[in-house]
Amino acid sequence: MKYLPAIIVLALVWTAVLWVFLSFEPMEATGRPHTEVTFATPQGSTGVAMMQGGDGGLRHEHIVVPGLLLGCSMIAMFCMMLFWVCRTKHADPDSAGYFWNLMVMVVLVYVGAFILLCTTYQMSWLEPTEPDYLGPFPMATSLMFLGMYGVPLGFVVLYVLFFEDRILPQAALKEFREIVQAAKAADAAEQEAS
Amino acid sequence: MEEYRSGIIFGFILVYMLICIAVGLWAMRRTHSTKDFFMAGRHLGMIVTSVAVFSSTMSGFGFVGGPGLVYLAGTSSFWMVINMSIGMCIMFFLLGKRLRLFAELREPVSLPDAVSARYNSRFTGGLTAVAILLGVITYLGVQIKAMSVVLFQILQDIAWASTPLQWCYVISCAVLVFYCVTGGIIASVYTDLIQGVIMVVAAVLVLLTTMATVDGGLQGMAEVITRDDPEAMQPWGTFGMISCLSFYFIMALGVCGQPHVITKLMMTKNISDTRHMLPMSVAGYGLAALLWISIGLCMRAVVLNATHGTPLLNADQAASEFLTYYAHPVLAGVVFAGLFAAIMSTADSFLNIGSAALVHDLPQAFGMTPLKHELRWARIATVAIAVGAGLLAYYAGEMVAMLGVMGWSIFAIAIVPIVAIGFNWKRANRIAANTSVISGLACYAGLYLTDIRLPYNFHQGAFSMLITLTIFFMVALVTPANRLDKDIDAVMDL
Repeated sequence: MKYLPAIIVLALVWTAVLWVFLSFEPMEATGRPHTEVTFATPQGSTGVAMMQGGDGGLRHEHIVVPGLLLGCSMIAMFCMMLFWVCRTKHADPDSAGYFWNLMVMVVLVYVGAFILLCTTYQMSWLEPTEPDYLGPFPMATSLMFLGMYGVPLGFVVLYVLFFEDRILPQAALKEFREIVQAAKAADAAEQEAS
Repeated sequence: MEEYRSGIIFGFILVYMLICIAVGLWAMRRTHSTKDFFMAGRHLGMIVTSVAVFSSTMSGFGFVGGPGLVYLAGTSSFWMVINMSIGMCIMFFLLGKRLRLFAELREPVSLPDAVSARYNSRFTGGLTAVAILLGVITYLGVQIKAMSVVLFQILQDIAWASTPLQWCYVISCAVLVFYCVTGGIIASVYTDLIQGVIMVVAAVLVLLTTMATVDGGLQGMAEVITRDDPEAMQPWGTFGMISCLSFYFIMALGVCGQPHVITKLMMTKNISDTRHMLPMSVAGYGLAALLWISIGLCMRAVVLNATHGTPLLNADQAASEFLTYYAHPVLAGVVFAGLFAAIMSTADSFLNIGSAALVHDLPQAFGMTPLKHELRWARIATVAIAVGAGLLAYYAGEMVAMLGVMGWSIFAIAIVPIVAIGFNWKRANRIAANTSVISGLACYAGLYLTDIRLPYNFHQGAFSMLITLTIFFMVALVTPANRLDKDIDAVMDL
């Protein structure tokens, strides 16, 4: 039962991966050489060092749901790891609810941002050459920066704010000093005996 | 000033090399033991370590390979950058405290040393050392390749200094070896500091320059790229969604497996320093990543709108072409110096952990007595590894960025489960550790060497890491936990 969340998350990631693997893959799903940006090679042939994506709808239509599941389950895996190491016997029980609520909030915003980025991207298929801009980039790309880079900064803030409560409480540090002293004393005794 | 551009750039690099030699010699005076050579005596301050953490993550791979990948595939490669906020969180939450506690308790001189202590198994430590050596050769090859490519480009523009590419490889290896043999990890960390500062300043200046190069700034670049190919500017770029998500997975989780980054967490003076190191490292990396993004976008845009004379012959030339043709000579000089700093400090870290694996960890794993003059042998091993990596870099045909992802993947596959998970989970045992490392690396080698392309270009490293994580977890669940040493057991409870 203790390991159930980890098993579920792993199962979700695998389901998504296998779903993707079993989905139909259109030609040029992962890009094609840019035929207009070419150069002549010394051997006389034509070289290309730039790729094009082509039609976003065509190349993604078979993986909309498994892709979404893959992204969400990956985020779940990352966040589960953070949750897992924040459990400590030395934490202040009074602030526990507050801390976990904040963590859950960041996770929800993180997942929400990913879903929003995917749906915004799908909406751009209607008029691909004239996307809406948010800041300097097309909206879905800006959401990628704000959501996938920006939101996890919430965990950074929580790490700093709750460091002494959740990561390294003073009581744990004191206990560690005692462990080191005991280990050194045992080492010294062993050396003396040998 | 334009007519002296090449000379100015060359001058900056020369000055930087002299600074490196000075740092190397200064560090040599502070290196008295293997502990100093490999662990900087565990006396590093918070700021130095934070900068070292982010700047070793952003190496030649980020400086040369990153912009090249944006040029090649548009926004796809952004997924290798934006993962770093969650990646560093995972690294610090899981390992920031834990590795430092292990370092103080058992005083390991390398990561495999700590692994041996955790699993009470020399074999597991040895296996980690083998994985580290494999990754080091590849990743170091990336650094040498990046350094040689850039040096070649710069020297080509100076009539009297024009040098064939092969000689650029020889020069790059020689400089690295001298620098690393003299200074060890102390030199690396302090060069990381110089590099970090240069990178952050240069990244901001480069961003401004790119914005001035293309009409309309960043949005102007986005519009030019969108007109040519809307997908290249949408979030999944030209590689597509699944490929990008697999990059996100391997890079975010994989940062916990980068030995040159996580060993730095063992070198701090105070355990509590990790509290402020996380925000500093994330902020530093975020700023430095501007360089990756802005140069890549700018070069793609100027080639597409025909401002740049000819298309690039190789995507890896994006950074050097931008600096040569669009940046102010002084800025170009500073960035090139920063680039060399990035490459040298990361390469130094690799040479360091590689030589530790060769002269310290592997002999221990085979039950041999410690080498008599370990420090001297470490320096000899450094030379051997540099030559090996140089040869690999020269003969490998891959792009810098893709070779970088390969090195990153090898580390991630082998080290993430046994260190990031294993150091926090008492139930993890040596059978799980050994099985997962062997199967993960075998899977990756099998996929890579037989050139099997996974559907939708799901990255082979990401797939192998998923396999290794699953095997590690499942095997640990179904096999009995090992009895841990009393002190290790107690520390894992904290």
